[in-house]
Amino acid sequence: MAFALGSPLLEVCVLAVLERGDTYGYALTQEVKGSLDISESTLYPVLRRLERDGYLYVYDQPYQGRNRRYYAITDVGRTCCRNRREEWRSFRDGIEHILRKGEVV
Amino acid sequence: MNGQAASGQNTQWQFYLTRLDQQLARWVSSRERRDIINWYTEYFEDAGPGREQEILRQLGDPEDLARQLAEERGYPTRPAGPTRKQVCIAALLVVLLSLPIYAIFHQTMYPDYSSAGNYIDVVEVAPERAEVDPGTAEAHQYTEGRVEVNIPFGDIVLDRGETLNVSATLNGQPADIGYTIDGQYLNVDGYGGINGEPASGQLVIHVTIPSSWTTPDVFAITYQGNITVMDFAAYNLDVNAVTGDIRVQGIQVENTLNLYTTTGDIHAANCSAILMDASADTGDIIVTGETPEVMDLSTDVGDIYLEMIGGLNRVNYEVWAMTGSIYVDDVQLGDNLSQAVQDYQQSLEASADAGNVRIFTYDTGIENTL
Repeated sequence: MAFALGSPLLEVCVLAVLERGDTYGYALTQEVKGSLDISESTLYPVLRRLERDGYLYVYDQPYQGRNRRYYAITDVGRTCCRNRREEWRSFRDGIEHILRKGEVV
Repeated sequence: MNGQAASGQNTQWQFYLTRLDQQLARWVSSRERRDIINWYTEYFEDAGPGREQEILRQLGDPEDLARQLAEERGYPTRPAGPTRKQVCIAALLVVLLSLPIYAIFHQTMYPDYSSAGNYIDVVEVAPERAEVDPGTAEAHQYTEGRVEVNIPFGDIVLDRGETLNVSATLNGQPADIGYTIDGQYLNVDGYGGINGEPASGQLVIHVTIPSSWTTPDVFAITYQGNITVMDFAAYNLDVNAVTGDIRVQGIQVENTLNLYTTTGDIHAANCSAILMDASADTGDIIVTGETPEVMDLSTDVGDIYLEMIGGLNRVNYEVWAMTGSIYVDDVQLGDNLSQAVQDYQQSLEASADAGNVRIFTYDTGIENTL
């Protein structure tokens, strides 16, 4: 694809998934992969960054004799997600506006 | 611990992650490595065998992935720049060079390893080392040869002698394991089987390197078994027993000595190197006698024993035992224990999250707990 999927977009996508409930790495990746063309290892650094910045926290839960790491959104993360969502919408509308004008001409 | 711990079949992704871990070790700290490997382990486990091939294809070459992961963490990985180890080596040189100044003006100050400015200075101090990238082709100009021993199971014994010798026994009987040799390049790859056939049982591979090969780059790995290296000299020595024990004794390594196992123990006696990196996830680490100039030792649930000869007087040891204890003896220090404790706190960064850190000497029997 010609358009790059940068970190801010990936971050808001991850936060939006976590807003609906805690989840683990594989499930999270599959959820995002369902809509976007990302690789199996794309989200690992994104999750680490979000954790470092306090937008999410992790906890381990036993699952079939091993530990599975779950990711959960924090209040700061929710606020960030809300703000970014708004920013994205105005950004998208701006681009749409320009593209539509071009089509008419 | 148990040297034959892994009884099940190793899956392809486990091999892949072992490779990835080895590559990461060139640049990334052992803690971050563990974090990364845990992520991918969990990922493969959750994905299930049906998606293994597809994910492996997407992840691509383990070296490329390791490089990408290291760069995302801000580690320089290009041959032109110094690796983390070179930075350590160079930092050591700067600390050594500046010791007299510290002694006069800053006796109680701790050397500052953290500032980026320091690192840049360091590279300038030791440019000849900064050019070397251990484990890659760039390092070969410093070495006479390269030795690779890579077997899916069985024990490996490495030593030096008059002539090259590669021999194997299977269940006590002599066996033929193929190898290739080209000048001072030896490759023993056990994946061709024994006597040309797939085999199982107690396999022992004994490789003797000629003494005339002064400083080969040496890499030894077995996925189920123990590795022993005796009276050996190398430029870099990389030993990975995956689940077994590692025993190295009388080792002279010009550059870096890397020892890795997940469930085995590591015994290192009278080893010299610029840097030794030993990591045992659940095993113990025992280092005795002469010690390398810089050591990075870490274990999750094992204990660490250091029985040094004057090693406490040196600088730059990092020792981590997350739930175990750390014991440090120094047979040479005698009555100078209080000085040693001071030096120790200055030069040895030790952490046992749940255990104890103890140092004491044979001569006085005095024990200090930090």
